Amino acid sequence: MRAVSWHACLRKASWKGDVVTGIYRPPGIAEPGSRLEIIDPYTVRFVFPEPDGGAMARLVIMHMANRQFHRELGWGEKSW
Amino acid sequence: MDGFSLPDKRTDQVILEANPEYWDTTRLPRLHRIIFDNTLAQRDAVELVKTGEGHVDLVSELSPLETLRVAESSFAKVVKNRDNTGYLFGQFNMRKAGSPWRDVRLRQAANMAINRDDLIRYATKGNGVIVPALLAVNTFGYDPTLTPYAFDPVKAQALLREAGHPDGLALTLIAPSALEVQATVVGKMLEQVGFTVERQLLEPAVYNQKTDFRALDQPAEQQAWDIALTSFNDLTNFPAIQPYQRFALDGPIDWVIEEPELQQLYTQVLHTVDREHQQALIRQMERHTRDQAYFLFLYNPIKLFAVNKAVEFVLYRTTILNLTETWVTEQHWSVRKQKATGPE
Repeated sequence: MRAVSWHACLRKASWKGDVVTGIYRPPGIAEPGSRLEIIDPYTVRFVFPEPDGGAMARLVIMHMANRQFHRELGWGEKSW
Repeated sequence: MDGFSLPDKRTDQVILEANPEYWDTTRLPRLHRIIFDNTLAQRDAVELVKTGEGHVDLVSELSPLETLRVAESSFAKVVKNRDNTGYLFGQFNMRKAGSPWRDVRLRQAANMAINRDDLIRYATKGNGVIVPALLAVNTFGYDPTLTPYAFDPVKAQALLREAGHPDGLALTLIAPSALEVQATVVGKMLEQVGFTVERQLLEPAVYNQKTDFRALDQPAEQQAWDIALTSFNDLTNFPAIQPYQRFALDGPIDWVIEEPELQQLYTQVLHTVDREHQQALIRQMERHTRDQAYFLFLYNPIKLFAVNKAVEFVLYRTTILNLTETWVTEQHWSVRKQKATGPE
């Protein structure tokens, strides 16, 4: 089990698929003190410094797109 | 797709292939391949799904005006998502310089000017559900004891006078072009109680430049519009964040100058993981929002789809076009074709 800064960890965990950019994050997910533990190849555990009632909802709207999408389109156009 | 005018950088197609190696064997995809076609206009796609097979199996955002013709088709059926977490409402521009909409009486007057039964009948052919505040019936935090604003033109006119507009008030109503019918009906209803309405239908990109703080063409205090019709789908079914944070609590499309109570309730929701407590707090947010008339409350749209008859389309309440559980019967053109020609 490892515990690392969550977004760096997600980037590392997904570098093979290149799916997480870290460019877009809803507020609250990556607050200081939060971390992510890799339990097994299919399971991760988010650990927050205090209870976060909105965490699950934020994960739903946390977009995961590859770096090309963010580099060439991003979220401004809104016609994708 | 209709309604989008900016240079379109999408590819002609997006093709999803099933991954039979997916780790969760209880949720393996039931379709081999899904093709999203970005080249067809909405009306052409509807025409294809109802007049034949092999081209289009599913069209989202079906217009209520098309449902009868689809239902009469030999090839297609209408599927309705009745329990979705979508909203159609108006935003009052409280942030422009000298905004009259900071007066709750004026916001209440506008809400009382709306005959929601008629709006749903005329604008959607009955494909909508009245909501008391923002949230739809099956949304987490919906308050069944909350009553919608009654259609009361006499009281609306009285409130308009009390708010300092005895001769009525001129307003600009903006809407994306896809909401043309709704904007027309709402505008007519507002005019019945003393508002003078200038209706502006905008292309989505232009609409965003007027309403989305990430894309404004002018500072908020210089945005001249008064009411912006908005359609929104809550993908989370957790309304404290969507729509409340987004549209009222310092989110990217927040035109509300709210009372401290709403922010306090929001903070409390986020500081508990007890679902019952969260639900009770969101209900308080709804009641406060309804009483303060922060929005022009309209209705929960029933989402419509035109679907090939051999497609068993599984709906998601959040309106996400998630086709994980969707499958096709033996009568589907692709299955018949595969049987005739053998596996690919």
